[in-house]
Amino acid sequence: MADSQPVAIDDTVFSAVYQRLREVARRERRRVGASDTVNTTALVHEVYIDICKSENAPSIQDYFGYAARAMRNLLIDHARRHLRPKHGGDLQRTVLDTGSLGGVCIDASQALELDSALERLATLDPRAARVVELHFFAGLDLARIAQLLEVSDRTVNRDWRVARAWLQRELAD
Amino acid sequence: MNPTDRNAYLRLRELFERCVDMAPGERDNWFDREGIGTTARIELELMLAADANANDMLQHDVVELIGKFGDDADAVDPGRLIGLRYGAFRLKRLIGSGGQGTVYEGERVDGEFAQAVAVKLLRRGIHDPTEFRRFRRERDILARLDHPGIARLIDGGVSAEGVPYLIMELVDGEPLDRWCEQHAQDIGARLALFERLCEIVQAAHRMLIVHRDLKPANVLVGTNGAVKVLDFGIARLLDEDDAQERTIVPMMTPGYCAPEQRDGGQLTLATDVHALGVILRQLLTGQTPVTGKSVRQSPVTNPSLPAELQWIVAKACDSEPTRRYRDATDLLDDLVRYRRAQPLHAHPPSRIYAARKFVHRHRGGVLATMLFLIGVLASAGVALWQAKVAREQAQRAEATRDFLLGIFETARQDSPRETRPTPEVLVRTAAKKLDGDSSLTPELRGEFLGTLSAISYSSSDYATAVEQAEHALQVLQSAGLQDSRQALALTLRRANALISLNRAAEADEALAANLGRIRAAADKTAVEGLSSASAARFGNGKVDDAIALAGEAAQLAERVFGKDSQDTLEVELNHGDLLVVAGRSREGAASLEKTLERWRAAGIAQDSDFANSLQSLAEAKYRLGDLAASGRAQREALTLLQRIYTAPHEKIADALFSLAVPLMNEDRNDEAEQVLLDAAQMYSALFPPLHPQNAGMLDGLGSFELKRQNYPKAAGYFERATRICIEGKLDRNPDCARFWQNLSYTYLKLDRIDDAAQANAHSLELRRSLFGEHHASYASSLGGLAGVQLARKQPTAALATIDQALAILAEHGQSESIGATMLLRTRARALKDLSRPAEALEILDRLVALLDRLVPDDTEHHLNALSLRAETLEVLGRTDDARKAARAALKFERQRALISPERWQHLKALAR
Repeated sequence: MADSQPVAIDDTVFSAVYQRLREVARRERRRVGASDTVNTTALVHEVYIDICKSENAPSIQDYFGYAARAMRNLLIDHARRHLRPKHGGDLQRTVLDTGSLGGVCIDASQALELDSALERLATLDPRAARVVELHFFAGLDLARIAQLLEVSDRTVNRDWRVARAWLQRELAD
Repeated sequence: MNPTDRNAYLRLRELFERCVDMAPGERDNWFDREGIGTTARIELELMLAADANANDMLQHDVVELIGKFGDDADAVDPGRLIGLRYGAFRLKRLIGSGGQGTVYEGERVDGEFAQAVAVKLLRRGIHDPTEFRRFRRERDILARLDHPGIARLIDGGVSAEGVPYLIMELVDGEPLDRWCEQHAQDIGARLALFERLCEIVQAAHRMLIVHRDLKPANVLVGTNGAVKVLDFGIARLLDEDDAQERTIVPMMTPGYCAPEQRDGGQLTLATDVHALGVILRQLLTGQTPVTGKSVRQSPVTNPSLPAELQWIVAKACDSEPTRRYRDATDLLDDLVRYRRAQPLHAHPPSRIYAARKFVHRHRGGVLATMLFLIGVLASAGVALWQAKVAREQAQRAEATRDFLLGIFETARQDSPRETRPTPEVLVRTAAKKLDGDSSLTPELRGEFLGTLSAISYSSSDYATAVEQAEHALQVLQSAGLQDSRQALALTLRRANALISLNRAAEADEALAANLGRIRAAADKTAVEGLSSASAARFGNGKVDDAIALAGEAAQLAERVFGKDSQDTLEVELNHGDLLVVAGRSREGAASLEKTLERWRAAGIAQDSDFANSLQSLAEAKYRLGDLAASGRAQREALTLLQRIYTAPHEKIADALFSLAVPLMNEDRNDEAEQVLLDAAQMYSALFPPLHPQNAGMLDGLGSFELKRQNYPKAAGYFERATRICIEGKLDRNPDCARFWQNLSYTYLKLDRIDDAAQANAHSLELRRSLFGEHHASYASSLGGLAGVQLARKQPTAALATIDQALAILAEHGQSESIGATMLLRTRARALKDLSRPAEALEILDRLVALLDRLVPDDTEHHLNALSLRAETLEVLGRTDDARKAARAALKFERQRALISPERWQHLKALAR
């Protein structure tokens, strides 16, 4: 997978991965109540074991691509749904300063911005964008990504660091 | 892809990678050395700052982020609302989430002073003004609930999105059940805690606030052991329905909720009693309640628990609300009784309990007495051969009897029947001894049987009292002692018990046969006998005889007890009450006024008898048209009752309710509405839905709306009242006749003539069967009939009906009463419709004069009479007089809706 291009999507396989991830993610969140113990890595791996049992199981490389894409879609879906008025998306806010909720002060629109920034990054620096997908969305650690992409650890580390800084700079605009 | 963009990016990336690990000071020099332009420098700085930020979105787990945006179909993630502001408070920390909503810790935003609170966001949204008003009303009621044991409601409102929120005192503590597991192992400590809980709930019940969701999780115990109850009345805020309708609680805690909550029944104070019972059971047994839709809680079967506590739990948890303790006060009362080893309200499996408890409390005294009594009976046979001994024994037996009766008589007066100490076991044992002992003289056996009958009567066991009295009378008769004073006393006792059993006819028969002997006695027994005879007569439908006997009793009482003794005054009040009930208002009012005044002058403490008679007086005055005096008496009764009883109480509700009538007649509608709503709230807290009191309440509200000319709403209330009459099978309740009559009148106002006729027929029939055709209330229904006949254009029939009604009123001296004015007006209308305007005018002149005297402040009656008078003068061709009359009528513009727009326009034309 040296070309670092996003994998071509096989709809059936992808939607199987997507559905399964969604179910497991929901179940996990329900089970623990507090979401901070939910772990994307564990989730993605659990679903992989499931998916491997099915007939047209993707290769492991493809699978992580699918999983990353699926998680990215999930985030966008939730962010969009969240912004719909019936969920109180336009609740009057007082200043949402830092500090509350474990320091995260993103809102749903930022998730959507991240998505489009990542889209732009994929045109400027496809490998870095791929690293972000696999690391952030599929929960793979950087060493594993290096293996998958058949590049050195150092390259993946650099890609991640640059991509992270660049994406944030985009979001800060 | 734009190659320029890409080149710019690659250049940025290269610069970033080169400088990212430099120290900040070093970097500035490097920027200068490399000659980096301002724009690139800003972009680099932004990226470097982002790199240094350890807490950006990409550092977080994506599943966690998804979680923060909420679940697919569910509500907003509670954590997301942290930091938002509700009222003067900002959400700080999530405390918990439940069926009703989500609770946060909040802090004051304005920073005036530090204040930590609990902010409760209710799950149910509020979107229309009606719901909002109701929410605000409830909130204001709850805010008045100021008790150290209740988490205070500080504020509440609805956010722009329709989310209702409540700001409450933040309470630190542990749930009751968990606290008990760790800190209160023994039953005594747990009961003390539970008593405290009951006291707190009691405070809210006095304000008629039902908690509706009591459970250990809502009862917190602080480190100092103080009990605090959370969420009082909050469940009610979640109701969709209006307060008057059935109230269904959307989500209750299974296991603690009462059957009526599951079934959507009426929720009363007894609903909380059920939850308290379940909590008590849990505290006593350590077992959490069984949950499930139709699960009946198993009785407490822990044999190591005192039986009394098991009964208390059973009574509190009874599936039928009316069989439970009425409120937390009564439940608490029983717990205190248990602690003090007094008899309980709770019914034990067997009545033997009462005896045991009685004995336990009077350990020395009663046990000795009981043994003594049995001893007397047993030894009598052996000892009676010796006359001297027999006399001694008889004296001792009499002393015993007096002692026992003394105890029962004192207990009888003011205590509820369950608390009267009834050692039935004593009575039964004694009766058995008596039967088996043939050697006793008939006189002595009669004496003992009579004593037992008295004991049974004192403890409200009337059937046994009758049986024992009859048995005693037989014994006396077989010895030829049927004319003795002893036999007379037994006859009276039996009759009283029969009256209490609603067997008035038998009592009447027995007393009538003995009237001569009763009169001849001319003592205390005679006064009682005459009063009993009066009550029996009355119960048997012979009202006039009953009044005569009551009068005779009053005269005799004055000779026997002295003029101003309480006994005499009570008998006299009874006479006055009877006169009023019988519709003889003038005599009744005069008699009551005199007696009440003497009672006051004698400085005797005013009791519920006194208040009762005040209300009779108010009714009589009202019927006689003296509304001011009626109102005064009502107010005095209300004040007195509020002193005698603790609210909520049926008698206070009755008095509030009655007060609305004079208020309405004085056109003080706001005050009337307030007392009506207060009364309504008390009634619905005290009674099940089909109870006559609730029907009466609806009738009152209907009358109020009638007075305000809101006819559709009035009809709604009256329809509900009559529906209770039907569904509750209240076919002997005279009040139902009034409801029907009011409904009929309202239908006429709404032009529903057939419906009006039907409702009127119900009223007439019920009053005829209850009171006969010469009763004042029957006249009132006849007035209704005449109204229907006029609406059907049958003036001749109407005139006949009205004259029959007026004749009845004349019989009772009520020709100048409010009731009479209504009839007179109808009569004038009939005469006018029959083209006999001169006669009609004569009636109307009399009517206007009468109204000026009876109800000078009233507008409704005046407008009706004056407009009719103007129209009649017009028919007579007396144009000038008609103009004057029309102008007088037009003064009541505010009430113009009482007559049709056409008639109003016509009056205006006449006035010109």
